[in-house]
Amino acid sequence: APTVKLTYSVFFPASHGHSILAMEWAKEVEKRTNGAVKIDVFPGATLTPADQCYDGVVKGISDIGMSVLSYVKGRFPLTEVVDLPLGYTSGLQVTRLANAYYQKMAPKELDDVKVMYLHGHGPGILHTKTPVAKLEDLKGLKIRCTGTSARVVSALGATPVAMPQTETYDALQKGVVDGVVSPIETLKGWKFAEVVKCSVQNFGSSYSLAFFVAMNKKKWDSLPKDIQETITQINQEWIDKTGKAWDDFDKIGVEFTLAKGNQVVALSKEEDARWAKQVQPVLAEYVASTKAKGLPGEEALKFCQEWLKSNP
Amino acid sequence: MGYGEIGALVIGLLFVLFLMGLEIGFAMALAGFIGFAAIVNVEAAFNLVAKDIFSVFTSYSLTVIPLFVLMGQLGASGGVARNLYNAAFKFVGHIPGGLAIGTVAAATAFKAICGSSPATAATFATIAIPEMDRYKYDRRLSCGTVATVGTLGILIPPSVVLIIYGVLTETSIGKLFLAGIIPGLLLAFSFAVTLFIWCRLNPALGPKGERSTWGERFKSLLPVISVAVIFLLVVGGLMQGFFTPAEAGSVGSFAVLLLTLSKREMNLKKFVRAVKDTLRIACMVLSLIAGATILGHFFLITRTPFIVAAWLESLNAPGLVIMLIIVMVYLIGGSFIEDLAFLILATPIFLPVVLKMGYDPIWFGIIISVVTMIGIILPPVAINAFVVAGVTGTPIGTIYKGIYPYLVGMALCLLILLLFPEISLWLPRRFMGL
Amino acid sequence: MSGFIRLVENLCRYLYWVAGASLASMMFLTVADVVLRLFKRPILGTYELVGFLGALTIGFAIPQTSLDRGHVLMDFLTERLKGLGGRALYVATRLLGVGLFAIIAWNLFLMGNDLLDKSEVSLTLHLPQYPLAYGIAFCCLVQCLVLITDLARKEAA
Ligand code: NA
Ligand code: NA
Repeated sequence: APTVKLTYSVFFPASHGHSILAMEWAKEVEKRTNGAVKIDVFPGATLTPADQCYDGVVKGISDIGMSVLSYVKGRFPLTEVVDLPLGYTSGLQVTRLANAYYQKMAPKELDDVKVMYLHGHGPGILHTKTPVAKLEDLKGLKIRCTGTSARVVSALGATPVAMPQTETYDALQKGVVDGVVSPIETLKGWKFAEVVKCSVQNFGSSYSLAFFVAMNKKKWDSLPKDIQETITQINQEWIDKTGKAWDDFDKIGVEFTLAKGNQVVALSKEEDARWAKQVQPVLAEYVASTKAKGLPGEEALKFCQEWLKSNP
Repeated sequence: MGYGEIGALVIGLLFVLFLMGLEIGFAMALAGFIGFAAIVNVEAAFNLVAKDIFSVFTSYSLTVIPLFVLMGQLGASGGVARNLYNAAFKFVGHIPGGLAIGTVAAATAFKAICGSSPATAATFATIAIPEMDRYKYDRRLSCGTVATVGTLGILIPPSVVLIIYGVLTETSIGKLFLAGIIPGLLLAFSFAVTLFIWCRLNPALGPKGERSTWGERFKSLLPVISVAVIFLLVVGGLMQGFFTPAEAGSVGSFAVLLLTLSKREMNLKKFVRAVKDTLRIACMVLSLIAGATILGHFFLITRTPFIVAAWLESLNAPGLVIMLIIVMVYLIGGSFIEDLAFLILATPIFLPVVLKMGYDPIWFGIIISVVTMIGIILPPVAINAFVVAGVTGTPIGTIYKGIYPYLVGMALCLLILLLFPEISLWLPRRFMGL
Repeated sequence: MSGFIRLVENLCRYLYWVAGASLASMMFLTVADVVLRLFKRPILGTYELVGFLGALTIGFAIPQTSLDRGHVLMDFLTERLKGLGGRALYVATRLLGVGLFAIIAWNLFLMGNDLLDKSEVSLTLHLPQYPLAYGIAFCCLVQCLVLITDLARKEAA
């Protein structure tokens, strides 16, 4: 049989662990289909920009794509439930939840592609230039955020400043913002450790960001059944691999920022609970906004909260 | 047909379209579209064109171009530029090519508020060239100088190119900024030397003016002081953290607007004219970038850059030879694709090769920046030359003639920086413990 | 024909006003944001608005820029080729331009349909994205008309 050649657009830079993992996925597919499928990986959002990646897969600009779902705001209201401040503890937990959720709810909004697997970064927490120990310390701080995390920052009482990720380093260095909310891996990945002093492990109110890996539907349907099965099998294996990779990056981020002489502050149980209580309105707002569109957001939220309870 | 053949055909097509006189931005878009359709499919190519144009036009970081052009246009229509160049003429006008030397100095300073090199070229094209015309400078000299000094922005911080490199390669942006300072000044110095020698050899290019008295000189400084205050506000505000580079253009434009209003040199008619000129320049530059983006995506899908990198690793040649080859690849690649697009495309591929040879990534960043500086004024696809041509209505060929002398000095600087990495690495090592 | 030309020219000028107003707004908005930030009251999502206005600035300036001959091109062959050859090249490039911008306009229009259909909005302010796509599509359509009037103009001359 002739070789099927596929293109894969990844928004992470080539040197990033997730690009490397995506290339390993591509190699694994090639190996286990005995070379019947060959995949060219284009990292660094060079083929399709992060916010065009999904539609690029739908339209066939790339056959496969990996990017952030909520960069296309409004198109995936139900899957965005994963981005909410549900109080995450690890990237593996988020990643497993995202896939369990997709398996169970199969939201129609993702029907125009063949989803390979989903994943999500480790707990999105607060990193600041001045030490923060309690909720009151946040008052008046300007915090960089976008999308859902802007709602989290407001709810916690700080001032949200929305700006692109690429400008954040500069803004932190120059004091245009006083801090940033992001997973701790960004302290190394985006060099934020050079320009912040303190990370707060507000896990109780931590949010995440759902990532997708998806294939063009027509391309997927054109693949022979046995190849489809092989790829599905590999996807299953890559769920945990990707989740664990997120946690490894976070661990490296912690070591990196500590080595720079910065603090990583754990909140007391009571304080963490206070923060968590503070972000509840964000969840209520989500339920209300999905309801207004006639979507079962409440069900989606309930599923996630229960899943997290039984998978702490 | 293989990717290689399609790639060659599209390059051929591109040159035919250029020669036919199709607008350069449109030609790049059309060739990229046809190539992408040939390799992937027509539907995907249709969508690629729409998406690329949409994302370039809506990009926040590219708004820096219209805003900095606006700052220059407001200054120009409000008489600021004329005053500035009067002062420059009073001080250095009696040297052959003196006003062009003043342009180099001004661009070096201006750079600290402008991260985009086509924007710097466009701004100086509107400010400096009419002034140099007034003093009967040859268009070769004036346009060549403006196109060339516009590139300084790539090296002197805060540089958008260095920020992008830092993020792509996971190197410290602070260290990259420090590393760029000495090489940036070295290149500015080489421009001044080039000018000096060139005008000695051919004084008719940049006629000497009369020598002014010190009294006249100090009098000419008065209007310049308010401009210096704006410069300090914008540069100082940027360094002190009042705003990001992307906001500096707006604040600077606003400050120039206030200044010219207070001097009664601005009115609604002049303001509208400044806005109109800005629109035309910005639209032309952004159309070029959009076209280059589409063409770049075509080249990417042919995997041309990846094949080259694999070949390089298989050579087993000495470090300096590999580095020179990489420099050539960037220059050639940047000739077909927009240089910044090629940098984004190629750097992650070449960096592992460079690191494996034991070179420092900060130093490589500086080398690549200098190569990009050369690339954007090196024919056949020299964005800065196109911009200056578009703004001043000078034939491209004339501008190229004005660029060649500078290229000699730039190539020398590049060689020095290649041979002595310490020139780039000394500052970051001294202050940030590399 | 001259009526048609005048219509196109007026259209370009109206669009140009939108572009100019967007550029000025971009400046004033950013300055307001920077000043308000001093008082810890930044305007949330300024950069989204600026990106939005930036698209209007560039997109709506396309037809007038073409009309003003603002786009750069290589002229050393066309400068030398006078008469029929030059005329043929001129007609060919105008037609290629019409084709290109028709493709762009049509696909941006489809993209707008998609954005509307999937209710895509901006990240922080939740501004709808489809009007931008429709807007730029319309400007590309006007650009096609400009390139067609280019043909007529040269003929008249
Ligand atoms: Na620059
Ligand atoms: Na070039």
